[in-house]
Amino acid sequence: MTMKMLIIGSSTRTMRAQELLMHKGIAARIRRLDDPSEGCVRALLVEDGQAGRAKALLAEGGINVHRVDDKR
Amino acid sequence: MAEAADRALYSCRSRAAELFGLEQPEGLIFTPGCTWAINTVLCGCLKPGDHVIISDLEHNAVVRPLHWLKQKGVEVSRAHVTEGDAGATLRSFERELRAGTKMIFCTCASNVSGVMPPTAELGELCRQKGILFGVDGAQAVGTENVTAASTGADFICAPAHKGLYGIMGLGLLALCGESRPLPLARGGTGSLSALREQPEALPDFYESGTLPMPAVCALGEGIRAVQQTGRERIRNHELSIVTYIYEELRRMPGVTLYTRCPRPGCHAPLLSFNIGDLSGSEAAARLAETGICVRGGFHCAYDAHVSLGTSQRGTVRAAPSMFTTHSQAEELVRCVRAAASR
Repeated sequence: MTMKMLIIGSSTRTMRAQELLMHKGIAARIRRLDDPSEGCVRALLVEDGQAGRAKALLAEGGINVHRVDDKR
Repeated sequence: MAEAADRALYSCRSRAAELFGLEQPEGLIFTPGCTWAINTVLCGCLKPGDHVIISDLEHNAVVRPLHWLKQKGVEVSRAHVTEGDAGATLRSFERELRAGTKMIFCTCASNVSGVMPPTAELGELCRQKGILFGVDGAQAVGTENVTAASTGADFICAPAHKGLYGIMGLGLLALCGESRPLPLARGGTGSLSALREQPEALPDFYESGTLPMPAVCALGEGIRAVQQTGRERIRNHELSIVTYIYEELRRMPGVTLYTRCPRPGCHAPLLSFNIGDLSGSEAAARLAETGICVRGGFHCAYDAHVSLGTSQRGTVRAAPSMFTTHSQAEELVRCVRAAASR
Protein backbone atom coordinates (compact mmCIF):
# COMPACT_ATOMS: atom_id res chain seq x y z
CA MET A 1 0.00 0.00 0.00
CA THR A 2 1.45 3.36 -0.96
CA MET A 3 1.40 6.21 1.51
CA LYS A 4 1.43 9.97 1.24
CA MET A 5 2.85 12.61 3.60
CA LEU A 6 0.66 15.62 4.26
CA ILE A 7 3.12 18.31 5.29
CA ILE A 8 1.45 20.57 7.85
CA GLY A 9 4.22 22.15 9.91
CA SER A 10 3.54 22.79 13.57
CA SER A 11 3.08 20.09 16.15
CA THR A 12 -0.21 21.48 17.45
CA ARG A 13 -1.84 21.75 14.07
CA THR A 14 -0.65 18.32 13.07
CA MET A 15 -2.13 16.76 16.19
CA ARG A 16 -5.43 18.50 15.62
CA ALA A 17 -5.32 17.37 12.02
CA GLN A 18 -4.79 13.78 13.13
CA GLU A 19 -7.77 14.03 15.50
CA LEU A 20 -9.94 15.52 12.79
CA LEU A 21 -9.08 12.81 10.26
CA MET A 22 -9.57 10.03 12.76
CA HIS A 23 -13.05 11.39 13.54
CA LYS A 24 -13.75 11.10 9.82
CA GLY A 25 -12.48 7.55 9.67
CA ILE A 26 -9.10 8.28 8.04
CA ALA A 27 -6.14 6.70 9.77
CA ALA A 28 -3.20 9.07 10.04
CA ARG A 29 0.17 8.77 11.75
CA ILE A 30 2.33 11.69 12.75
CA ARG A 31 5.83 11.88 11.36
CA ARG A 32 8.54 14.37 12.15
CA LEU A 33 10.59 15.35 9.11
CA ASP A 34 13.73 17.31 8.48
CA ASP A 35 12.91 19.34 5.42
CA PRO A 36 15.96 20.91 3.73
CA SER A 37 14.08 24.09 2.87
CA GLU A 38 11.96 24.50 6.01
CA GLY A 39 13.70 22.59 8.75
CA CYS A 40 11.68 20.61 11.27
CA VAL A 41 8.13 19.96 10.14
CA ARG A 42 5.38 17.63 11.25
CA ALA A 43 3.45 15.60 8.70
CA LEU A 44 0.62 13.12 8.61
CA LEU A 45 1.10 9.78 6.93
CA VAL A 46 -2.09 8.61 5.18
CA GLU A 47 -2.94 6.05 2.52
CA ASP A 48 -2.39 7.30 -1.01
CA GLY A 49 -6.07 6.88 -1.88
CA GLN A 50 -7.17 8.93 1.12
CA ALA A 51 -4.76 11.83 0.66
CA GLY A 52 -7.04 13.99 -1.49
CA ARG A 53 -10.04 13.62 0.78
CA ALA A 54 -7.85 14.13 3.85
CA LYS A 55 -6.46 17.36 2.45
CA ALA A 56 -9.97 18.63 1.69
CA LEU A 57 -11.23 17.72 5.17
CA LEU A 58 -8.32 19.49 6.76
CA ALA A 59 -8.92 22.60 4.68
CA GLU A 60 -12.53 22.62 5.91
CA GLY A 61 -11.15 22.42 9.43
CA GLY A 62 -8.88 25.40 8.90
CA ILE A 63 -5.67 23.41 8.58
CA ASN A 64 -3.50 24.21 5.60
CA VAL A 65 -1.55 21.32 4.10
CA HIS A 66 1.60 22.93 2.70
CA ARG A 67 2.16 20.10 0.22
CA VAL A 68 1.67 16.38 -0.31
CA ASP A 69 4.80 14.24 -0.69
CA ASP A 70 5.37 10.60 -1.33
CA LYS A 71 6.31 8.73 1.83
CA ARG A 72 10.06 8.97 2.42
CA MET B 1 9.49 10.12 24.92
CA ALA B 2 9.37 13.31 22.87
CA GLU B 3 6.14 12.17 21.24
CA ALA B 4 4.64 11.44 24.65
CA ALA B 5 5.58 14.97 25.73
CA ASP B 6 3.99 16.37 22.56
CA ARG B 7 0.79 14.47 23.36
CA ALA B 8 0.75 15.72 26.95
CA LEU B 9 1.28 19.28 25.72
CA TYR B 10 -1.51 18.97 23.18
CA SER B 11 -3.83 17.44 25.75
CA CYS B 12 -3.30 20.30 28.19
CA ARG B 13 -3.61 22.89 25.47
CA SER B 14 -6.87 21.35 24.30
CA ARG B 15 -8.26 21.29 27.85
CA ALA B 16 -7.31 24.89 28.43
CA ALA B 17 -8.75 25.97 25.07
CA GLU B 18 -12.01 24.24 25.96
CA LEU B 19 -12.01 26.00 29.34
CA PHE B 20 -11.92 29.40 27.62
CA GLY B 21 -14.37 28.38 24.92
CA LEU B 22 -11.86 28.63 22.09
CA GLU B 23 -12.74 26.88 18.86
CA GLN B 24 -9.25 25.53 18.29
CA PRO B 25 -6.42 24.59 20.64
CA GLU B 26 -3.94 26.64 18.59
CA GLY B 27 -5.51 29.80 20.01
CA LEU B 28 -4.34 28.88 23.50
CA ILE B 29 -0.83 30.14 24.05
CA PHE B 30 1.40 29.07 26.93
CA THR B 31 3.50 31.85 28.41
CA PRO B 32 6.03 32.08 31.25
CA GLY B 33 3.27 33.53 33.43
CA CYS B 34 0.17 35.67 33.43
CA THR B 35 2.36 38.77 33.52
CA TRP B 36 4.01 37.69 30.27
CA ALA B 37 0.59 37.10 28.70
CA ILE B 38 -0.55 40.58 29.72
CA ASN B 39 2.66 42.14 28.47
CA THR B 40 2.21 40.35 25.13
CA VAL B 41 -1.24 41.89 24.76
CA LEU B 42 -0.32 45.40 25.86
CA CYS B 43 3.14 45.73 24.33
CA GLY B 44 2.18 43.69 21.28
CA CYS B 45 -0.91 45.69 20.39
CA LEU B 46 -0.34 49.27 21.53
CA LYS B 47 1.72 51.78 19.53
CA PRO B 48 2.61 55.44 20.18
CA GLY B 49 -0.51 57.54 19.81
CA ASP B 50 -2.85 54.74 20.87
CA HIS B 51 -5.10 55.21 23.88
CA VAL B 52 -5.98 52.49 26.37
CA ILE B 53 -8.40 52.50 29.30
CA ILE B 54 -7.80 50.40 32.38
CA SER B 55 -9.59 50.18 35.72
CA ASP B 56 -8.34 51.56 39.04
CA LEU B 57 -7.95 48.02 40.38
CA GLU B 58 -5.20 46.74 38.11
CA HIS B 59 -2.22 44.65 39.11
CA ASN B 60 1.33 45.85 38.35
CA ALA B 61 1.37 43.29 35.53
CA VAL B 62 -0.87 45.83 33.79
CA VAL B 63 0.24 49.09 35.41
CA ARG B 64 3.98 48.74 34.85
CA PRO B 65 4.03 47.84 31.14
CA LEU B 66 1.57 50.67 30.55
CA HIS B 67 3.75 53.05 32.53
CA TRP B 68 6.62 52.10 30.19
CA LEU B 69 4.37 52.39 27.13
CA LYS B 70 3.20 55.80 28.31
CA GLN B 71 6.77 56.99 28.09
CA LYS B 72 6.78 55.76 24.49
CA GLY B 73 3.70 57.78 23.59
CA VAL B 74 0.76 55.53 24.50
CA GLU B 75 -1.96 57.36 26.42
CA VAL B 76 -3.47 55.67 29.45
CA SER B 77 -6.72 56.51 31.24
CA ARG B 78 -8.17 54.99 34.38
CA ALA B 79 -11.82 54.31 34.97
CA HIS B 80 -13.29 53.83 38.43
CA VAL B 81 -14.87 50.52 39.40
CA THR B 82 -17.81 51.00 41.75
CA GLU B 83 -18.37 47.91 43.84
CA GLY B 84 -21.69 46.26 42.99
CA ASP B 85 -22.74 48.95 40.50
CA ALA B 86 -22.15 47.81 36.93
CA GLY B 87 -23.90 50.87 35.51
CA ALA B 88 -21.70 53.35 37.33
CA THR B 89 -18.57 51.41 36.37
CA LEU B 90 -19.61 51.26 32.74
CA ARG B 91 -20.30 54.99 32.66
CA SER B 92 -16.86 55.63 34.11
CA PHE B 93 -15.27 53.67 31.27
CA GLU B 94 -17.48 55.37 28.69
CA ARG B 95 -16.40 58.80 29.91
CA GLU B 96 -12.79 57.90 29.15
CA LEU B 97 -13.47 56.84 25.56
CA ARG B 98 -12.06 59.06 22.85
CA ALA B 99 -11.42 58.94 19.12
CA GLY B 100 -8.03 57.22 19.45
CA THR B 101 -9.04 54.59 22.02
CA LYS B 102 -7.65 51.29 20.84
CA MET B 103 -8.22 49.03 23.83
CA ILE B 104 -9.90 48.55 27.17
CA PHE B 105 -7.93 46.26 29.47
CA CYS B 106 -9.52 45.28 32.73
CA THR B 107 -9.23 42.78 35.53
CA CYS B 108 -11.98 40.18 35.88
CA ALA B 109 -11.61 40.39 39.66
CA SER B 110 -9.41 42.50 41.92
CA ASN B 111 -6.72 40.41 43.60
CA VAL B 112 -7.00 42.77 46.60
CA SER B 113 -10.73 43.16 47.20
CA GLY B 114 -12.28 40.49 44.98
CA VAL B 115 -14.50 43.15 43.41
CA MET B 116 -15.49 42.12 39.90
CA PRO B 117 -15.91 44.78 37.20
CA PRO B 118 -18.72 44.10 34.71
CA THR B 119 -16.57 42.41 32.07
CA ALA B 120 -19.46 41.19 29.91
CA GLU B 121 -20.81 44.74 29.65
CA LEU B 122 -17.35 46.10 28.95
CA GLY B 123 -16.91 43.48 26.26
CA GLU B 124 -20.16 44.58 24.64
CA LEU B 125 -19.07 48.22 24.86
CA CYS B 126 -15.81 47.36 23.09
CA ARG B 127 -17.67 45.42 20.44
CA GLN B 128 -19.97 48.39 19.77
CA LYS B 129 -17.03 50.79 19.57
CA GLY B 130 -14.84 48.46 17.52
CA ILE B 131 -12.00 48.47 20.05
CA LEU B 132 -9.97 45.64 21.54
CA PHE B 133 -10.83 44.16 24.90
CA GLY B 134 -8.33 42.35 27.07
CA VAL B 135 -8.94 40.86 30.49
CA ASP B 136 -6.71 39.79 33.36
CA GLY B 137 -8.34 36.61 34.59
CA ALA B 138 -5.72 35.87 37.25
CA GLN B 139 -8.06 36.03 40.21
CA ALA B 140 -11.17 34.77 38.44
CA VAL B 141 -10.29 31.85 36.17
CA GLY B 142 -11.27 28.60 37.81
CA THR B 143 -14.16 30.03 39.85
CA GLU B 144 -15.85 32.60 37.60
CA ASN B 145 -17.24 32.22 34.10
CA VAL B 146 -14.33 33.61 32.08
CA THR B 147 -14.68 32.52 28.47
CA ALA B 148 -14.44 34.12 25.07
CA ALA B 149 -18.23 34.20 24.84
CA SER B 150 -19.00 35.36 28.40
CA THR B 151 -16.50 38.23 28.36
CA GLY B 152 -16.50 39.20 24.69
CA ALA B 153 -12.75 39.58 25.16
CA ASP B 154 -10.19 39.48 22.40
CA PHE B 155 -7.59 38.34 24.92
CA ILE B 156 -7.86 36.44 28.20
CA CYS B 157 -4.75 36.23 30.38
CA ALA B 158 -4.42 33.81 33.27
CA PRO B 159 -1.83 32.07 35.46
CA ALA B 160 -1.56 28.33 35.90
CA HIS B 161 -0.97 28.48 39.65
CA LYS B 162 -4.14 30.04 41.07
CA GLY B 163 -7.65 28.81 40.29
CA LEU B 164 -6.39 26.17 37.88
CA TYR B 165 -4.22 24.43 40.49
CA GLY B 166 -1.11 24.27 38.37
CA ILE B 167 2.35 25.27 39.55
CA MET B 168 4.17 28.59 39.29
CA GLY B 169 6.04 29.57 36.16
CA LEU B 170 3.33 29.13 33.55
CA GLY B 171 0.63 31.35 32.15
CA LEU B 172 -2.04 31.24 29.50
CA LEU B 173 -3.05 33.66 26.79
CA ALA B 174 -6.32 32.88 25.05
CA LEU B 175 -6.57 34.54 21.64
CA CYS B 176 -10.33 34.84 21.32
CA GLY B 177 -10.59 37.18 18.35
CA GLU B 178 -8.74 37.85 15.14
CA SER B 179 -6.22 40.29 16.56
CA ARG B 180 -2.62 39.10 16.81
CA PRO B 181 -0.25 41.09 19.02
CA LEU B 182 3.43 41.03 18.20
CA PRO B 183 5.25 38.42 20.30
CA LEU B 184 7.59 39.52 23.08
CA ALA B 185 10.22 36.98 22.09
CA ARG B 186 11.32 35.18 18.97
CA GLY B 187 13.38 32.03 18.79
CA GLY B 188 13.23 28.29 18.46
CA THR B 189 9.78 26.84 18.09
CA GLY B 190 10.58 23.21 17.31
CA SER B 191 9.24 23.79 13.82
CA LEU B 192 10.31 25.20 10.45
CA SER B 193 13.81 25.61 11.76
CA ALA B 194 15.24 26.67 8.40
CA LEU B 195 13.13 29.83 8.40
CA ARG B 196 14.77 33.02 9.64
CA GLU B 197 11.36 34.52 10.33
CA GLN B 198 9.32 33.50 13.32
CA PRO B 199 6.72 30.97 12.09
CA GLU B 200 3.37 32.70 11.82
CA ALA B 201 1.22 29.69 12.63
CA LEU B 202 -0.30 29.50 16.09
CA PRO B 203 0.74 28.73 18.72
CA ASP B 204 4.36 28.68 17.51
CA PHE B 205 4.32 32.41 16.77
CA TYR B 206 4.20 33.10 20.51
CA GLU B 207 5.96 30.11 21.98
CA SER B 208 9.70 30.42 21.55
CA GLY B 209 12.04 28.35 23.64
CA THR B 210 11.41 25.23 25.66
CA LEU B 211 8.07 25.05 27.42
CA PRO B 212 8.11 24.08 31.10
CA MET B 213 6.66 20.63 30.59
CA PRO B 214 6.35 19.79 34.31
CA ALA B 215 4.22 22.93 34.70
CA VAL B 216 2.20 22.12 31.59
CA CYS B 217 1.47 18.60 32.82
CA ALA B 218 0.54 19.92 36.27
CA LEU B 219 -1.81 22.44 34.69
CA GLY B 220 -3.45 19.72 32.62
CA GLU B 221 -4.26 17.80 35.78
CA GLY B 222 -5.36 20.97 37.55
CA ILE B 223 -7.82 21.83 34.80
CA ARG B 224 -9.09 18.25 34.84
CA ALA B 225 -9.72 18.57 38.58
CA VAL B 226 -11.57 21.85 38.13
CA GLN B 227 -13.70 20.44 35.32
CA GLN B 228 -14.49 17.25 37.22
CA THR B 229 -15.34 19.09 40.44
CA GLY B 230 -17.26 21.82 38.64
CA ARG B 231 -16.34 25.47 38.49
CA GLU B 232 -19.58 26.67 40.08
CA ARG B 233 -19.31 24.13 42.85
CA ILE B 234 -15.77 25.35 43.59
CA ARG B 235 -16.89 28.96 43.52
CA ASN B 236 -19.86 28.31 45.81
CA HIS B 237 -17.65 26.44 48.25
CA GLU B 238 -15.01 29.18 48.34
CA LEU B 239 -17.64 31.92 48.60
CA SER B 240 -19.25 30.15 51.55
CA ILE B 241 -15.85 30.11 53.28
CA VAL B 242 -15.28 33.80 52.55
CA THR B 243 -18.76 34.91 53.58
CA TYR B 244 -18.44 32.98 56.86
CA ILE B 245 -15.12 34.75 57.56
CA TYR B 246 -16.63 38.09 56.53
CA GLU B 247 -19.61 37.74 58.90
CA GLU B 248 -17.34 36.78 61.80
CA LEU B 249 -14.83 39.56 61.17
CA ARG B 250 -17.56 42.13 60.67
CA ARG B 251 -18.59 41.70 64.31
CA MET B 252 -15.04 41.56 65.64
CA PRO B 253 -13.66 44.61 67.48
CA GLY B 254 -10.39 45.85 66.05
CA VAL B 255 -10.90 44.37 62.57
CA THR B 256 -11.55 46.51 59.49
CA LEU B 257 -13.21 45.23 56.34
CA TYR B 258 -13.28 47.09 53.04
CA THR B 259 -16.04 45.61 50.92
CA ARG B 260 -19.61 44.52 51.26
CA CYS B 261 -20.27 40.88 52.06
CA PRO B 262 -18.98 38.92 49.05
CA ARG B 263 -21.68 37.63 46.74
CA PRO B 264 -21.74 35.71 43.46
CA GLY B 265 -21.19 37.75 40.34
CA CYS B 266 -19.93 40.76 42.27
CA HIS B 267 -16.97 39.34 44.18
CA ALA B 268 -14.38 36.66 43.58
CA PRO B 269 -13.94 34.50 46.70
CA LEU B 270 -11.29 36.36 48.63
CA LEU B 271 -11.28 38.89 51.44
CA SER B 272 -9.04 41.78 52.48
CA PHE B 273 -9.03 43.06 56.03
CA ASN B 274 -6.82 44.71 58.62
CA ILE B 275 -6.20 44.14 62.32
CA GLY B 276 -5.98 47.09 64.67
CA ASP B 277 -3.47 49.61 63.42
CA LEU B 278 -1.09 46.95 62.14
CA SER B 279 0.08 47.10 58.57
CA GLY B 280 -1.10 44.30 56.30
CA SER B 281 2.34 42.69 56.39
CA GLU B 282 2.58 42.90 60.18
CA ALA B 283 -0.86 41.36 60.58
CA ALA B 284 -0.03 38.56 58.14
CA ALA B 285 3.20 37.86 60.03
CA ARG B 286 1.28 37.64 63.31
CA LEU B 287 -1.17 35.18 61.75
CA ALA B 288 1.70 33.18 60.26
CA GLU B 289 2.99 32.58 63.81
CA THR B 290 -0.18 30.59 64.41
CA GLY B 291 0.08 28.65 61.15
CA ILE B 292 -2.37 30.74 59.13
CA CYS B 293 -1.23 31.33 55.54
CA VAL B 294 -2.44 34.65 54.17
CA ARG B 295 -0.77 37.36 52.10
CA GLY B 296 -0.08 40.76 53.61
CA GLY B 297 0.99 44.00 51.99
CA PHE B 298 0.08 45.63 48.71
CA HIS B 299 -0.32 42.49 46.59
CA CYS B 300 1.52 44.06 43.63
CA ALA B 301 -1.60 46.17 43.11
CA TYR B 302 -0.97 49.57 44.68
CA ASP B 303 -3.66 51.21 42.52
CA ALA B 304 -6.25 48.87 44.04
CA HIS B 305 -5.15 49.89 47.52
CA VAL B 306 -5.48 53.57 46.58
CA SER B 307 -8.99 52.81 45.39
CA LEU B 308 -9.73 50.86 48.58
CA GLY B 309 -8.25 53.53 50.88
CA THR B 310 -5.49 51.23 52.16
CA SER B 311 -2.49 52.74 50.38
CA GLN B 312 -0.82 53.61 53.69
CA ARG B 313 -0.83 50.13 55.20
CA GLY B 314 -1.93 47.50 52.69
CA THR B 315 -4.18 44.69 53.81
CA VAL B 316 -4.22 41.05 54.79
CA ARG B 317 -5.78 38.93 52.10
CA ALA B 318 -7.39 35.56 52.75
CA ALA B 319 -8.07 33.52 49.62
CA PRO B 320 -9.47 30.00 50.06
CA SER B 321 -9.13 27.19 47.57
CA MET B 322 -11.34 24.25 46.76
CA PHE B 323 -9.42 22.36 49.44
CA THR B 324 -10.00 24.87 52.25
CA THR B 325 -12.30 23.49 54.93
CA HIS B 326 -14.77 25.30 57.16
CA SER B 327 -12.80 24.22 60.20
CA GLN B 328 -9.76 25.96 58.72
CA ALA B 329 -11.87 29.09 58.26
CA GLU B 330 -12.96 28.82 61.90
CA GLU B 331 -9.31 28.57 62.91
CA LEU B 332 -8.48 31.68 60.89
CA VAL B 333 -11.26 33.56 62.67
CA ARG B 334 -9.96 32.41 66.07
CA CYS B 335 -6.43 33.54 65.20
CA VAL B 336 -7.61 36.91 63.93
CA ARG B 337 -9.58 37.41 67.15
CA ALA B 338 -6.48 36.59 69.18
CA ALA B 339 -4.30 38.91 67.11
CA ALA B 340 -6.84 41.71 67.34
CA SER B 341 -7.05 41.42 71.12
CA ARG B 342 -3.26 41.66 71.67
